Amino acid sequence: MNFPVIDAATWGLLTEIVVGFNRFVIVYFVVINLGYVWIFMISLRSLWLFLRRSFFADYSQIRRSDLTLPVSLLVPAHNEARTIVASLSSLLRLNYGEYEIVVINDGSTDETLQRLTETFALRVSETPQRRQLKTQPVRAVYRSLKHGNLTVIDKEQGGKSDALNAGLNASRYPLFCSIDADSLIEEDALLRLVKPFIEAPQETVAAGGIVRVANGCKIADGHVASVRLPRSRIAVMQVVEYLRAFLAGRAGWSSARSLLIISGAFGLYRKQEIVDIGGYSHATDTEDAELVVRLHRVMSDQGRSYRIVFVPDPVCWTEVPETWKVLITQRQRWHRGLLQTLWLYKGMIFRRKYGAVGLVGMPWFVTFELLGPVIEILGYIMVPLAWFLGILDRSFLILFLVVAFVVGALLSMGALLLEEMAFKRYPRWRDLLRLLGYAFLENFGFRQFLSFIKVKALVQALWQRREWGKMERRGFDPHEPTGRS
Amino acid sequence: MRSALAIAILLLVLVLAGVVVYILARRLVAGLWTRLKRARQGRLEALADAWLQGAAEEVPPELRRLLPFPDRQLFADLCQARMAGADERTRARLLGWLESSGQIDRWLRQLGSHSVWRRARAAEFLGIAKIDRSTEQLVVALRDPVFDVRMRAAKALGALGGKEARSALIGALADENRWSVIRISDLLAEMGPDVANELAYAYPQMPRPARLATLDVIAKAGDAAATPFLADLLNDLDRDVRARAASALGRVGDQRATGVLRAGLLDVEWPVRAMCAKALAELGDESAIPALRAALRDREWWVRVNAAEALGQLGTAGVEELVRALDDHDEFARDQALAALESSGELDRRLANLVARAPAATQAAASVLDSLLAHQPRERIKTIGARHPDQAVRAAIARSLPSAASRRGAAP
Repeated sequence: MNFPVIDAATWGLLTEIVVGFNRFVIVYFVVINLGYVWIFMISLRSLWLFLRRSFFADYSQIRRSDLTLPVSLLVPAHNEARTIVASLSSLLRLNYGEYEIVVINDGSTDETLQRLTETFALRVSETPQRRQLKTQPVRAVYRSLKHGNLTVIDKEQGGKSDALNAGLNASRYPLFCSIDADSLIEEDALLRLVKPFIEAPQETVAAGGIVRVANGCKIADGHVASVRLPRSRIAVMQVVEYLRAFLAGRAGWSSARSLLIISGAFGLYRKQEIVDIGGYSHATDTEDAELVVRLHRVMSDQGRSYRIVFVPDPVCWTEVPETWKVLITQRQRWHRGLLQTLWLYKGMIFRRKYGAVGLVGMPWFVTFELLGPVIEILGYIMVPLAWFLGILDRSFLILFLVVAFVVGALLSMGALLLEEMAFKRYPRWRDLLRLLGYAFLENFGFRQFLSFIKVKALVQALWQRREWGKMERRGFDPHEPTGRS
Repeated sequence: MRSALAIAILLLVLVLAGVVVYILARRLVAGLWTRLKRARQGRLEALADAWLQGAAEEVPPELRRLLPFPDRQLFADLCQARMAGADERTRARLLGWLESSGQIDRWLRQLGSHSVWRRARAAEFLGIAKIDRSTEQLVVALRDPVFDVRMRAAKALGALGGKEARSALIGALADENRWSVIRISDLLAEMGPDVANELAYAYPQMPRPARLATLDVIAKAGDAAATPFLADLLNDLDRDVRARAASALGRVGDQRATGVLRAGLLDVEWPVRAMCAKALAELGDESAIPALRAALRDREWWVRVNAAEALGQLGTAGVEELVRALDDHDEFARDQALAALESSGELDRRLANLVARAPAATQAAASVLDSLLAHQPRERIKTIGARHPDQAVRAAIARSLPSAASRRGAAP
């Protein structure tokens, strides 16, 4: 092999850069993992407290009470013909006092509207609506003859945020819940999610539930009848990932009053506050994260005492990608969205006015969640460079990689521990053993691959392309053939 | 550095192995424990049921010798399950069993325990067993720093009833937690009509959330004697108090409130107006029709829709007013009247007479159609026509459309 000729000065400079970077990586690695352990400990404590309290919870009283706030469920749908009926069936069976469902058909080109019309006997409604938020034109509003609390809005395509804003215009109740059309909500999930709003009605402005992976589960009649792990390896890796993100991540961030993301698949908000700040924004690829950060900013600017919380037991089941292609698209969109959101609200970082969000949450997300993958990939690039420069300490590298992998596995195991202590949703021994195995295996390739994808997403952020994420839906009915929607 | 890393690896691997072992062992132990509990539960239940249904009064020896784990917990659960809906004899036997085993004294002691779980469970069981002598301690437990204990104590006091329990629960309405207030107000509402008077008496000293909850409790109690108290509150400075008082007046259903509710339709705050309209519907007094007719022109949708629904519920006179409102000069009043007539099916019934044989009925139906043709967009009339179940009516409405279009000079 012929190496390019490098003079001694350049050689020395390169060596210094690589050594310096490696030292930085070690410090970065220690800090990030101490941070994760800290968040894990907070999560552990908050879940313990939560469990102790929910042991006594009497949710039937919330359902019966006249003082429980009614909720509008907003279900944006774009080409969801395959799953929309199953999703709505599960929503119509929710165990909750007063609620309405507003489906927003955002310019679907498949049979979404037709399926809804046939299944739920939709008829055009002329009820006037207040247009508090600007949206793409609404073609028609339908009401179901079978279910008095079901409304369908058919509108020109404008994206998910636009659809949610149209839903907000049509909604009647003081709380609204955004739900993905490809998700299934457990029967008492809404009762559990509304609890923070009942406990602290003046302060609570938003609450998010946990999103779990529906792939592999037995779905019957619009609800998860039996929880199983998916067969697909990618999907199982995502089960571990979701458990880590929600139980070992959001539960802790919520306790630290720095929750920056409430999943768009299942979040409950106080409507007036959201309308007052202009509804969902089109400015980023992840409207859910942007909305939460904007809420933090506005509430702090107004000097209001407020709470944005994660509640670990209301469950929303969702289909996750089972192909690399769809997974890549999804993760790129998420990371692009994270960058856009953090950039949009960069002014909040290290400002005392924004409390824990400004001083801890946002700096953490910028330094570790956003830039972490960049550092990691650069680290991998530095290895051959160090070898080329003749300064590679192989034994140290191996030891370091082993520490990294074990720490990664430990964090994933920690998430499984929380799951096992708190919820035990996977009752089969076989599933538990597989989860333990994958919690270890995901550190060998899967996480590195995702880091690479995230770096690519950061580069792509320059393009600013925004659209509904394309997702290959298998549908909740196992008898239906798989197809693209 | 290298040895530090090696030590770190060793420690991390140990922790990792520990976590894995803990997860597996936990699952294993939990499974075994559940099995053991289930087996023991079956045994205890069989013994207890045989004794409860049998003639012998004396507690069987095996039931007198309970193991601390898991028997005591199972025993408490068993009493809880059997106590609900039990007849006097069974109840007396269970109470005797609880007393003789020292369980009630144990629960009373546990109300002062350091463990939140014990305090909460003790309060719960004392309520289920309805132990009168526990009232005083449960009242103290209503001030427990832990919400869950307070709520269990409140529930127990609700089950026990009595003046002391009622007063304590009314005082507990001041709890900062809204969920507490909801649960306590539910308990109070189930404690009979006397509670309304006591609440009205305590009302001026209550904080705002308690006041709002009080109005709901009074509404649930449904005692007409509370009408003057609620009517006075329609002049309160707090918008939410006025709105809830209006709602409560509707639920109490005393027609003496019609006058104040009519006046409430002119309140400066729309939630109050909306609640007044809704309450007037529940009172069913036709003297409210003119005021509700005016409320159809309200600038807020909620008020209009409640007024229209109220008119629809006030019998023929109210429905006739809605039909007349189809020609109202206010576009929103016309729309709301039409929406109410449509949703109640009254519009379809009226239009069905377009093909009736009786000339008077046909004329009335034609007049309704004329009102629609004069004020509603062609597309909307077309939709109304297309949805009508009678084909002849659909045809009649369709025939009327071209003439309407030409009358207005609209494009066909």
